[in-house]
Amino acid sequence: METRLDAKLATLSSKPDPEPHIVVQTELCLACEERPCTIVCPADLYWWGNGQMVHNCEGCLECGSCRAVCPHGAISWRYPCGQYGVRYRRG
Amino acid sequence: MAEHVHDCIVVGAGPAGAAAALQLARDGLDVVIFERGKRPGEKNVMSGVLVTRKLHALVADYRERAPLQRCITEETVCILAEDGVLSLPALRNYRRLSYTHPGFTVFRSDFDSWFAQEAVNAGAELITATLVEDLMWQDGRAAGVRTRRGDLRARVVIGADGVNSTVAEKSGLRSRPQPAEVSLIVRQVLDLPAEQIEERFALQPGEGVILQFNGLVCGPTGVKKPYYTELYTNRDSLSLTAEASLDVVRACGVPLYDVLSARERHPYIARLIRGAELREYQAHLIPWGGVQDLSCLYGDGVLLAGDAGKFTTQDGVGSWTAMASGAAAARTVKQACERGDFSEATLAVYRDFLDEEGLIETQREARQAWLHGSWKWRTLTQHPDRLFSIARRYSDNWLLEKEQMPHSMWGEFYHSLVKPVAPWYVRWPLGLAAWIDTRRWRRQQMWK
Repeated sequence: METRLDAKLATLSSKPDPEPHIVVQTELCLACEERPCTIVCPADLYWWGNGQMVHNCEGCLECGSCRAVCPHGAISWRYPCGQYGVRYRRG
Repeated sequence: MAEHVHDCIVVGAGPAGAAAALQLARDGLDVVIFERGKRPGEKNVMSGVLVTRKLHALVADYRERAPLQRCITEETVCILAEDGVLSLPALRNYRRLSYTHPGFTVFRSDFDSWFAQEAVNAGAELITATLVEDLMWQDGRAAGVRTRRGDLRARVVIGADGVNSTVAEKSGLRSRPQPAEVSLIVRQVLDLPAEQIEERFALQPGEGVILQFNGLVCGPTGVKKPYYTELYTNRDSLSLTAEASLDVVRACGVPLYDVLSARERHPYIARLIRGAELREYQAHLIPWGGVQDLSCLYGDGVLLAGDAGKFTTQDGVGSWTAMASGAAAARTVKQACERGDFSEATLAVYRDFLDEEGLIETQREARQAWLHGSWKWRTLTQHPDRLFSIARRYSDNWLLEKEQMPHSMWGEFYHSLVKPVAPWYVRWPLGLAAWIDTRRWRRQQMWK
């Protein structure tokens, strides 16, 4: 019984912060060849498309891996403000 | 919020924060806990076992009152190969049920709420749904916290806000986490009726198991790296996790959710989780490798506890180290309050209290294991395929007939051509050479 990522993510309810909690300096990503954020993000919020870095703030699991792994420090990441973000019922 | 100065502000209502607040409130101090979730624990993920060796000292009757899932009576370490699994001798210890502090599976959303409520009952104040964004400074030392809902002043701040600690970074004690020193865990909770769990894992009601799987994952570039998987039992659900250090994920190039899906497909694990229904998917980052530098744990008016201070054990268990470091921080704050001095020099007594809790030794061990790899980590993660193939040869021996054991090329040459016709002075040296060559060759085959 294998489940795909979208089925996994569909089990979660999350309310996005109106003020984006992830800000990426995408010009730094142009020089990045490795782009580890696209691999480590457990919600697959980062992807490389049309020669630029695209990211999504909605559905973030708030682990902070992207910020830790970014080799250029291009990702400024903070926790979503109180009441917003993911809520685990079975954490 | 008025200019009232509290004795202590605790940032984060996880095990470390709640333990610190509970201890401080019992000592009669005026303490406030900040939690960014609507209720404590809803942002948290349990990725293993709650070790209660500190909890029982803080809340003596926790077994009657805490929302615990199952008491762990069995842990099995398994080596995961592509087509099978090798379980090392399982530790089944039913006496653990009568231990004073066994391990339990818990849901953090329930457990942290309960534990924070214990602190509130003892007299602490809990402010939920509020993110601490910065520290307030006065005369070069931390004097409170800043939030969207206003500022709050305190004589000292305890940062217990997890691995991405705002307090640690804003106070300059630490920068953002390094990929090699944090480990990412993805976990899914799978619903399965309690009777089926007990039947499948041979358990009595209330007992639980952990299965650890060590296996290599081969990345798109052919790099093989160890990923860790655990399966454990809650009351009426199973948790399946995949874990690896961020450095490993980066070097291997396989996302953890793909590893998790692959583990679900593995013939052994698929049989164990058959029929279970996906309930929730979660991810969490934990520190890995212990505290490097003890002077990074305290500054002027600031202390770090739990994951914020990077407390962990060599097995990656952070629950009891969090509670113990929280309790040590509380003792430090109490002593500082008595002296009325919250400078770095006074707070340095934190080291002594950590030592009394046994945490300095634990951190040293964790650091050693991180630097050199513990023997367990090395054997289980570096060569799982080899161990599996040795075990397969060992246990499948009775299936192989003796004549089928092949010789090396030199061995074949000797046995078919030389041995039947050659005189003794040719047979002996060539026979010895063929024997050595065959042994070498078989040993090579074993690793394939």
